[in-house]
Amino acid sequence: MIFVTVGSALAPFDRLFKAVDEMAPRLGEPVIMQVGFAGFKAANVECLGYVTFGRIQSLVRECRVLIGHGSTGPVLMARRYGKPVIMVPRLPEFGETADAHPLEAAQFVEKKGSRMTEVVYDIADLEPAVRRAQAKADAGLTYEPDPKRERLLQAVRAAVEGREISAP
Amino acid sequence: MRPLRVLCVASGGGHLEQLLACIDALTAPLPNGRGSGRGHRITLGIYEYSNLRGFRYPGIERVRSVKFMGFAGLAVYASLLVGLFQWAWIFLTEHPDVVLTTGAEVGIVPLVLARLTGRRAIFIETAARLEQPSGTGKVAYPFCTHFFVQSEAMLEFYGPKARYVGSLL
Repeated sequence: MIFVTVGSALAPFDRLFKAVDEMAPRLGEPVIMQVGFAGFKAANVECLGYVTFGRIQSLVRECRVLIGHGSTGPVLMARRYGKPVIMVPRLPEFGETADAHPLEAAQFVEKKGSRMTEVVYDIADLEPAVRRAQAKADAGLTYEPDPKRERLLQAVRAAVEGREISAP
Repeated sequence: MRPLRVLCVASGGGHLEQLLACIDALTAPLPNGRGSGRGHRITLGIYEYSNLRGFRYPGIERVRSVKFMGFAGLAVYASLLVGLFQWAWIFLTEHPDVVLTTGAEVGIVPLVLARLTGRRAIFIETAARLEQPSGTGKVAYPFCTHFFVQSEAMLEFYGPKARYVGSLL
């Protein structure tokens, strides 16, 4: 199953929804799309409007490939459950977000680079990206270790425990 | 060391995702943990968002929530004021040793209460903030004992307490 999540923003994201709905019959597996408050009428995929945070977690755990809006949520969920993720950042010029933070986060993830993450800016690039992600899921690829992330988590734990934080 | 009671606070979405990543790290077994071999004891503090009703997560012992009144204008101040009483009650009943928050503004009052009562007050600026500080970060900074940013460029906006050691993204 391919799961699409766009967070709880009120703004529409039809650029993504239309593309997914159009390609869904060619993908060879079911697609579930969380479309949020803005809503969307799809022909080929199951759409979810209101979804709890807990339900999103289960859907990400069950899916093979995650497609998400930019920003931090989908990337972190995908890593937690070991799923390949495609980020399609909401862009201000299409009225999909009020500020550029999804774009900044996506660019950060892209620059950092992981075999399990990919960023799509032009929606025409989405279908090949989905195929690559499906291939990663087929091959059972997992996330490589991330020393910088680990260092932050250990520093946070040290702060919680009142220990000295070792310099990076 | 003895397990600590950690009050972990976040709003929803990406803030909560980042907090859960920290909770995973905090609930990993303690090096010489007594007895159960569990990590620290976590109380999650959140807004009463309807999409978080009944939320459960491994390692979180209790969930406490405070009223949410809105994002804009006066509602923010009203939330802070009502939150002051609700957070004070949560402090009295949970006895947290430490407060840890990944934002957003829901974390401000618990950080202030932690600092006033001599506890560690830890703030992590959201990973989505790479080039400009968040409103929450600016308000929270003076009250924190520990302050983490998730990109090097963010250090210039804050004082000497701010640390960059890595990013969750």
